[in-house]
Amino acid sequence: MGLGVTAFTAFVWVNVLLVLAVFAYEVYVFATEYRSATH
Amino acid sequence: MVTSTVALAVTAVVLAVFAGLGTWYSRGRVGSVEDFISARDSAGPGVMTATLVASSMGAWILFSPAEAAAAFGGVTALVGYGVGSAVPLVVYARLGPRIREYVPAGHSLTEYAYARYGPWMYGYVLLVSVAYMFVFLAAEMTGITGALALVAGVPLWQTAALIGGFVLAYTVYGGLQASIFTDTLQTLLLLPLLAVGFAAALLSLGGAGEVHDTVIAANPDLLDPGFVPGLKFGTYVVVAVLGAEMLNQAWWQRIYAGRDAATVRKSFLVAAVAVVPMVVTAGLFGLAATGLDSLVTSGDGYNADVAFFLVVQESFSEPVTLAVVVVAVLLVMSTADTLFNAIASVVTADLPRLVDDPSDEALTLAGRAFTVVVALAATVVGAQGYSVLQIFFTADLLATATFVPLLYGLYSTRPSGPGMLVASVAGLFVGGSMFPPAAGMLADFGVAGLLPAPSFFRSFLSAFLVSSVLAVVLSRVSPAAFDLDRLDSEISRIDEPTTDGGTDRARTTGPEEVRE
Repeated sequence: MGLGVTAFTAFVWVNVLLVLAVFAYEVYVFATEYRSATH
Repeated sequence: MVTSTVALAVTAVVLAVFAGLGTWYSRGRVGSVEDFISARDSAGPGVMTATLVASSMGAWILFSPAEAAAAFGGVTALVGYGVGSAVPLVVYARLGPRIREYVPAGHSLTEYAYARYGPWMYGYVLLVSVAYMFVFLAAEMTGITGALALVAGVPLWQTAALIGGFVLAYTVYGGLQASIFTDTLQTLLLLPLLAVGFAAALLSLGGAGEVHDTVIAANPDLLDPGFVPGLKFGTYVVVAVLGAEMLNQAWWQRIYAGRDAATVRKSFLVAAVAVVPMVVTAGLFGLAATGLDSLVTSGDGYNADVAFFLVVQESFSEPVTLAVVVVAVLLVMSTADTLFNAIASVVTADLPRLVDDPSDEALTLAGRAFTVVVALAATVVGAQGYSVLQIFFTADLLATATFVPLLYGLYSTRPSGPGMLVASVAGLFVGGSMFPPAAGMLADFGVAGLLPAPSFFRSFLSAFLVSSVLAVVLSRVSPAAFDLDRLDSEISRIDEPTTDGGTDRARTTGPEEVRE
């Protein structure tokens, strides 16, 4: 039984959002490191 | 279609910017061969995660996952590819701190193999590791040259020369320091470009619903999570990628580059989480390609290996195509600089044992010279347009049969060099007997009928299981007992003076020599 259109759509967009979430995490880590290094 | 001139110009600008940044960052930071090949304890959590993601995600994510989705097993194979990419990083999250604990001054996996198992296993591991890394590098160069030829008609040699030349320029100067720094920037660019680029691409294709309908019309099995060929593909990809990456020196270098053990553990885990959606997102283009008349998934004219670029070529405007070119170039750069330095570092780290009392300057020069040799060879091979997939599978099989015997010695005192070599070679023979590319040769010897039907699934699984079981069994009957704490005393920094106050460079002494 194949994925329905809703499940497939969710699968696609969750992946895209996860990539963006990883980017946001990386920016957060760098900002935190920078702040602790300069204070 | 994007013109060759525009594609080359964009590629050259991206390459020049990163070569300039990598060179600028490295100024004054490479004071010794240690700085060039290990960058020891220098990377914090952000940089570590970024370099792991960048090194892991090469141009292959624009080829293999989309091909798997379009031709082998649909969404199941795609998820298998994503998980397969993450598993080695999860394993390194456990293994990395252990390597740092038992071999704190190490540089390479071959150094460990020599100190733990002696010269024969060392030679075997050196061969398998360098073969895998070079094939990986050649595949990256072949992939990007083919991609730019497809979407913009750029001659293969022009792309290969541009990428090989610029990446060499900053890697030969800054070594691992430059590689890690540029990896960080490349990851910060790649992540949003991939997400936004894919979202734009998806919308231009009519949205996820439209792609879903296209796949259902072409082959509904591709969206079935229980599709057996997809599950089999996903399983052997996990094993094959795990084996190969355990023999990848790039990870061993980064284990030492991390600031401390906690940073190494956390960064590998975060990178594992990051690569899954990246691989899956890139591979979704393969599903989108199933609606194209130009896609051929079997027989003559097979082109599922470039499914991603068929979608780009047929569906996207010039700006989106150029964004894809930038993504592809970033992916290749981040992996190529990593592998240039990784291959060079394996040989450089072994030189103090092979050459009588080399100076630090001579070792750094040798590291740079090896980088040039690797870059030139990869550039020449990448410009030929060879099909490297079969060689890639062969290198994967070699590594799959080797990694458990190799790493078992970090966890147990019992494995011996000869025993682990036997386990590896036996695993290779059994896996090779079911390896599809070897089927013709076996038929020539008249033994093909005596063996199970060739398949990658059977081949990789049996190589892994036979080498693992034999490694355990042979260790049980081995009289040897290796004190793991000796690894620390036998492997030391290359720039470390000897205890007599002289300048004799660090050595890696084999087990036999120490016993004497």
